[in-house]
Amino acid sequence: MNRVNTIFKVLKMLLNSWKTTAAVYLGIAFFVNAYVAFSLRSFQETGDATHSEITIANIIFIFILVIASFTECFRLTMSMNVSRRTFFYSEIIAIVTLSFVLALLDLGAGSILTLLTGMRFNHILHQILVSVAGQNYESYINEFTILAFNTSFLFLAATSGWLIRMLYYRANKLQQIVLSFSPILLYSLLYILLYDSLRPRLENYNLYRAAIYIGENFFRFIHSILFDTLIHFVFVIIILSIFASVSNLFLCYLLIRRAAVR
Amino acid sequence: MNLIELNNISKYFGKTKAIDRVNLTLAPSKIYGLLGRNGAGKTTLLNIITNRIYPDQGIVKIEGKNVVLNDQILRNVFYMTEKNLFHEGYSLKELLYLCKDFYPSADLSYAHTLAAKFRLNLKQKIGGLSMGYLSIFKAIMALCSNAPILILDEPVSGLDANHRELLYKEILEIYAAKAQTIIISTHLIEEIAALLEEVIIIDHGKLLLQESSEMLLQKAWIVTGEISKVRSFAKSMRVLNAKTLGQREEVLLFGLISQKDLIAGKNSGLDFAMASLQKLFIGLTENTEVNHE
Repeated sequence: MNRVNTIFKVLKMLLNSWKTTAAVYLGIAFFVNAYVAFSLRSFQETGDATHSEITIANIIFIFILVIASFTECFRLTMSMNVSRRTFFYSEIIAIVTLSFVLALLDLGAGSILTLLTGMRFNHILHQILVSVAGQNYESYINEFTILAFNTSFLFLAATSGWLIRMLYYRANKLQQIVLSFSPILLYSLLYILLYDSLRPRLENYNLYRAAIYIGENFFRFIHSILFDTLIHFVFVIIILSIFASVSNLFLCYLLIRRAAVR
Repeated sequence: MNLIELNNISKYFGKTKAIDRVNLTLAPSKIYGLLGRNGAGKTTLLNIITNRIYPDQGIVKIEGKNVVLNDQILRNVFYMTEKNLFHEGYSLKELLYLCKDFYPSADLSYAHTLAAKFRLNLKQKIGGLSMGYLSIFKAIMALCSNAPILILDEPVSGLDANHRELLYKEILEIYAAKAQTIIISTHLIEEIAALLEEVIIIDHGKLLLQESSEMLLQKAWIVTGEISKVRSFAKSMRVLNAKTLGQREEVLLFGLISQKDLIAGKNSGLDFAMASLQKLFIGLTENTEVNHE
């Protein structure tokens, strides 16, 4: 049995172990979408609506799925005497596959909602472009761009989840405590460093608004200094997201290479 | 040709030296017993052989190739760990199919036959198994995998006497039929002694000995008699332990005794009995060695 064969066997095992959780999540997402469509039709709403909630839910789902399933999948793979390197490759393919499927379903859900309600549902990419360059973005994005953008962001979320899980897995008790408190420490540090610029967003310690604010500014910054056209901006954002994911994967590989089976 | 080679393997856990410069070579188609006291380093050594953990020093080769991240080599090994690595939600059947996926030559009909012999219901979830049945299931997986190298870490943990007997019988049958290389790590030395062709004893992470069990038993003698005569006989030999009762002494000797010495000893009134593997193991690992010179 050569390595490619083993990689696909581990991939099959990983996707199998995710299928129930993914089915439950997608079922819930389907009912939420159906409820939204039904409500909008009942109230005979018109105009544009946002569709970013589903994308954000997908991002959170894949992030948590990868974190929660790592130990089980890793141990099961090791019990079959598969090398960590093969597990690593299989996990990457599984994550890419799931990211693509979720992005595709996200896109499909938006189109179905449009069909059912007659309203246009703006994806998260639309919203980012609005915040970066106003309304004149129509000609720059199509279904392919949205699909690529969402897939790359889901991939980034998944690899970030994996990296966090790997850090926890390799850490000793003290390091785990430090890791657990690191978001609070990071938040406090940001609060101190960006006090003046973030103050309006940090009223009532609204972390979500502060994060959106930082994100928006990050996108505006890239738009202003790198390329001044939106199409370049979209691709740069996708490439940056892939680059960040690859960096996460590189660190994951270093951590998993010598990870003990616990 | 050596099937498994361990060259100068050392492993630390923090400041504790779990394995200390172990050199070992295992030949194909033999049943090896890996014996050692609790914490001697048996499981660590097996984990290193199967690349579950990395040694701090040294190299492990199987069929002449380094095992590190080597799927081709690892495919030839089935390692039954004492610890359960399967998630509780899996059914036994699912796990057997998984085993078949990764070990294409696995014989699932044999697994079903074994399950019936052990009265194990394969429709159960792994989380619902008792400790004994969990060991049985893992052993069934190992035996049906048909991997050329089987490593069984505490395979009879939690098993009752009947199931232990049955498992030993099955191990012997599969070995007779397929001549796999089998490494068994266990504490139940007395029970397993008859199965073993070669014995490896480790203590405090160090390799104490590796020898064929036949040769080993030829070297292990219990000699009883008058104190002075026993001591005189044992003068130039390795005395693993000694028990004195009044004017009599019983010693456990480790070393070959020539036919001539044996006859002379018997003629001088000494009693000779061959020691069991367990007695020898205790003698070798208990630090009760006596110098009668």
